[in-house]
Amino acid sequence: MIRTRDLGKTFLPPPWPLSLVGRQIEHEVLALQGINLEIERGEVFGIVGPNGAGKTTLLKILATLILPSRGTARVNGADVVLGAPAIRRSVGLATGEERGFYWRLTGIENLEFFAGLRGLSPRESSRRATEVLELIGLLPMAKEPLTRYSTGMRQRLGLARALLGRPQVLLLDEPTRSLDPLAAQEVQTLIRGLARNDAVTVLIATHNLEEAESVCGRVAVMADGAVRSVLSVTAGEGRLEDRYRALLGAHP
Amino acid sequence: MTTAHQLWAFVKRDYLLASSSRLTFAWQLMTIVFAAPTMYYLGRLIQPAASPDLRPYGGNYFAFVIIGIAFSGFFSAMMAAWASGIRNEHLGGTLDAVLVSPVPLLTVATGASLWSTFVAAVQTAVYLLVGRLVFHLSFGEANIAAAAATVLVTMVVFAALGMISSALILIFRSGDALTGVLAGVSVLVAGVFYPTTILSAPLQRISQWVPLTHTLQAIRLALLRGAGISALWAEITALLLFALLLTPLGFVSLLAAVSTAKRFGTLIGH
Repeated sequence: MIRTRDLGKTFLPPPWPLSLVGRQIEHEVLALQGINLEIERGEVFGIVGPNGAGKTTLLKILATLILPSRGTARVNGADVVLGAPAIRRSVGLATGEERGFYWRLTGIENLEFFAGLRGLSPRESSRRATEVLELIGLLPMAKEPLTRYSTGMRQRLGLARALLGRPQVLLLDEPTRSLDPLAAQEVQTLIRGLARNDAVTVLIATHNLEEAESVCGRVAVMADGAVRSVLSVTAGEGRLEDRYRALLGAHP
Repeated sequence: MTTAHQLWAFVKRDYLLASSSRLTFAWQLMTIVFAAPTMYYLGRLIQPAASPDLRPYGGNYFAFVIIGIAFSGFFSAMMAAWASGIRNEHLGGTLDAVLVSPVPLLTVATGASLWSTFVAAVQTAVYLLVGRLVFHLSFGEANIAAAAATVLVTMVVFAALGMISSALILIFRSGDALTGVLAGVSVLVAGVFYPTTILSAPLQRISQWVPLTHTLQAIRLALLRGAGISALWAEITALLLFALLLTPLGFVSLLAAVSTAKRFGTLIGH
């Protein structure tokens, strides 16, 4: 479902005349190197690692928002460079960023807009937006403007948006970062259910090792843009945190 | 139907955003209410002196200038809407959410400009309505079909210019320079406030390379003298050539800009 071969990304300083505008990076930044992953249909796969490890860059390449510099990546059979439109039809992305919504609109108005972008009619958009709001536990807040949403609610709304198109692949960046423990548990249960019942492939970038251990079947440990190891998260393998420390010698 | 639903989603979103700040729209209308009488009294002041150059348009300066202001304002606003649509998503942090949706880039650029174009069209209509109802501007001889044809071709030209401007904004991550420059040049040489015949010879030659020159010439002759499409063929042909040249250039520029931004990681944070 997700295959990467020697995937790499280097952010280069922009050439002239692009370099004349604003603050630019002055040196090459090696964000990803030699990433080889195979993630199966219905699998929940975690990516853990310290800040700057390349987790978000990897998700955004898979979501077709950043072009890779080297190697290939295929999502649901389509190449991230040549088959971007097909990938966007089958992928849902939740970045966990607070921006990314229209704050003067209500939660349901936001979701109806993004459902419309997926080609749904106004009536279908409204129905689907209501469904995902209910799924994510935000239906009582549907008609409130986003200014009244807490950080955690906005994060859950981001997850609801990612589910609008009934994705076959779900890319989640820190999906429970701002959630209280109960809400985080609900989201984790939802993720497990999507993978088990609907065979949705889920790729989660997270700092939370407990979450990775609880939700994921396998976890890739990343540092400095490279995958150091892919660990299986099954009973008898030992605590993920201990194995993570043994690999990187630090907390994520 | 998919594209229609996508475009409708943009229109509904922008209507909802605009209706949450009705005061802005009211202020824009107030500007027209004050600008129209200003032009009327200015017209009364300079009417006798300017009449030889205004004769091809019927000799009425108020009629001449209200059409210039109304339509140059419409096309500038339309170009700015095309230029700023994608930039606004970028600044608002919603661009990645929009671009990860299965919606073609051209649909995003078009959709994000539709509401602003509609508002600009309403403002243009209000200008002409104020001129007609309050200052008894006559459109009795108007050839509406010729004027509409001119407006439609010009819309294509300015949409293409808006795409080029949008590409520059995305690449350089700066303000809308092209729209500002083109608006300034247009005011100087395109005949918004005065006929191009009063310009020096070099400026008259430059004015021929500015699309708005041909647009205003054609619309004025259609609305004030009843000129038909056959009488306006030179102006409409010039606009068609601009459209044929600029439309592919605009589309390719926008695609290249997004691709460059994805390559350098400047489309979104990383």
